[in-house]
Amino acid sequence: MSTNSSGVRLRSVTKRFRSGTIGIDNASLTIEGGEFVTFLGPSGSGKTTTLNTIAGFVRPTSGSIEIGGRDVTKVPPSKRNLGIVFQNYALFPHMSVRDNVAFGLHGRGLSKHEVSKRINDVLTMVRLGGLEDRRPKQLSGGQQQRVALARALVYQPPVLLMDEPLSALDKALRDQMQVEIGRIHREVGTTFLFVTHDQNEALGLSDRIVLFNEGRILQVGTPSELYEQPRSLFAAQFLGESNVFRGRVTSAQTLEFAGVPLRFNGGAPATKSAAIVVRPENLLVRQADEARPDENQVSALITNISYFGSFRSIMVSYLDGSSGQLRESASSEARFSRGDNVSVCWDPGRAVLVDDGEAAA
Amino acid sequence: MAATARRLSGRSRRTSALLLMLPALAVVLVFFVYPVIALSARSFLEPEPGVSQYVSLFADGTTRTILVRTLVVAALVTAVTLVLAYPYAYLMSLSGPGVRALLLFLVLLPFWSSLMARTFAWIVLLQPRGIVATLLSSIGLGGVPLLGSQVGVTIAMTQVLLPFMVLPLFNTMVRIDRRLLSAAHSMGASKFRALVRVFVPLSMPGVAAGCVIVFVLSIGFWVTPRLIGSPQQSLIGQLIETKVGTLLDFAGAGAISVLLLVITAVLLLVAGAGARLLLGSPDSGGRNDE
Ligand SMILES: Nc1ncnc2c1ncn2[C@@H]1O[C@H](COP(=O)(O)OP(=O)(O)OP(=O)(O)O)[C@@H](O)[C@H]1O
Ligand SMILES: [Mg+2]
Repeated sequence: MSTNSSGVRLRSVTKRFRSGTIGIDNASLTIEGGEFVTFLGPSGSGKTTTLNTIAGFVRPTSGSIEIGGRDVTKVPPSKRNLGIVFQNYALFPHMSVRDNVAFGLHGRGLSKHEVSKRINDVLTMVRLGGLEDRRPKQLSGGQQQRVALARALVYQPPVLLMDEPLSALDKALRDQMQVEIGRIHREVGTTFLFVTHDQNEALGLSDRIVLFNEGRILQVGTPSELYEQPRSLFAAQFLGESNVFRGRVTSAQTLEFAGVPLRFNGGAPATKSAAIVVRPENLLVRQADEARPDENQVSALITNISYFGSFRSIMVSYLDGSSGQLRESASSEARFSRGDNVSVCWDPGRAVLVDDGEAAA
Repeated sequence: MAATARRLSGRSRRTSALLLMLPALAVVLVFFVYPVIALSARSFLEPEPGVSQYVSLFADGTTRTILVRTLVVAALVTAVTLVLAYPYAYLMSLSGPGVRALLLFLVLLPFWSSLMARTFAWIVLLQPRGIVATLLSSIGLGGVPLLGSQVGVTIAMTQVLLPFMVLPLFNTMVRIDRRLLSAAHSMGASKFRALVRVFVPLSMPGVAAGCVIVFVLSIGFWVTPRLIGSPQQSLIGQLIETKVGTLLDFAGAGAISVLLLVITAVLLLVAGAGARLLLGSPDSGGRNDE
């Protein structure tokens, strides 16, 4: 429909609310035109505040915001020409679907014919044809969601902002809408900024993920970068499952975990106390005496084994009392059972070393 | 089994609700429904069964004039209170809890004194050299007779009835989801357009409720026009009072009362239908779940 898209740039944006709460703390971020970027983070981490500064509903305390190269820090929302999908949809209850969608076309110098063509096109795109005369109340949650999308896209904004647009839907509908939103992004080519605290949505939809915690941007990267190279313990634990071996760095290549030296690749961290993070699928279970010299190994006790069809999930408890999990293909024969003492091993190249968040705090 | 039990408990709950309502119901029946029925019955039965009372009501030029004047004054009072109350209620709905409480207190202030006392206070204020006259002449509207005139009556009634407009408006406005306005702005709407296309339509139920209440109360107003207005400018309430109190014409008074009741009922129906048309009734049309 449109190939119109703009980049967004935040420069050291800080928002301190009147209550003194910091909504976002010195956030800098560059988003390219046409990208699908998700803001991911736990509740209260500043995702909505950041989105609202871009939308213009929140005026930053300091810093600046550019959209399509234009500084919009002091421009009101009505002049930013953005599409916004609100969490509760915010559809106008007194207007039909058609009037809701037509609202944003007002004053854009379009002919009557063009207006009705745009409305028809966008309703077809979100698969809502035939419901033009309904009121929002007469639509299901998923249909309301589509109206909200249509309404925000019909005037072809260069950037579309969405704040947890799927959170009001049930699981099946959420998965379906997630696919739809991906398709619509490819069709319109507009820059999409999507807020969520659901890691599966973030991993499945985005070109890049911006990870928030406590008002700060912790890491920005593609889903696989965030998953495979988390730069903090928080990132590792927030996105996907991980096994965490906390310890002290004893040399440029080793970390001592519960008395066991573990090797890691890459340079030594700034802090003495750090953690090695390994994803479940990169761990192997071996008999306690089956160690190999090129692997790290840690003894563990199997606390539970669950069967998931294509794989088995093995829960273990490590020497320091922490628990972890690993995966084993279900096609290999089951060699272990609950209560076994085993060795958990991994190739040092398949693990990352991160600062120990707690020691830093 | 379970369904029967539920139906039984439903019925018993309805019975106890009815019992709780009984005292209030009795009061309404004895002091409102009975007099209304008795009075309207007399209007159809005296002097002989038929509609002669109503025929003479419309034939009598004075009654017609008074009726029209009453409706005009009521409409004027309704319009003025709406114009004054709308921005006030809007401000109230926007402000924080502290300011809101203060504004609510101010609007309810008239309720703290009796209607009589307030009306006499207005007599003082509306004196030819009183505050209101001075204010009016300072903006170039001097020489308007206030006491004993329709203008004075309208001013005093507006003040008395203002709370009945502010409260329903406020009640509707605080329920309007402000995110709808943010949504309108995000789509490029100016403050004015968002107000006109989103806020005002959604406040219409409050407007309708306030207008009906104020209009109906204005029609029935009696003390204020009696004390501030002049006998030559009397309103329908005074006419009823004269008929009942001086002429002992209960049938004639009954006929006027029935007419006022009909006007009120029609107004309520129109306002209700208007609100439904605007906001769409919640159960019209089929809901289509995906
Ligand atoms: N209007 C406000 N006034 C004061 N503090 C606020 C306001 N809005 C947000 N905050 C605070 O700013 C911080 C960030 O809030 P924000 O709404 O951006 O979080 P979020 O990441 O969107 O969370 P969620 O996932 O729960 O929506 C929180 O500590 C919150 O309490
Ligand atoms: Mg939020």
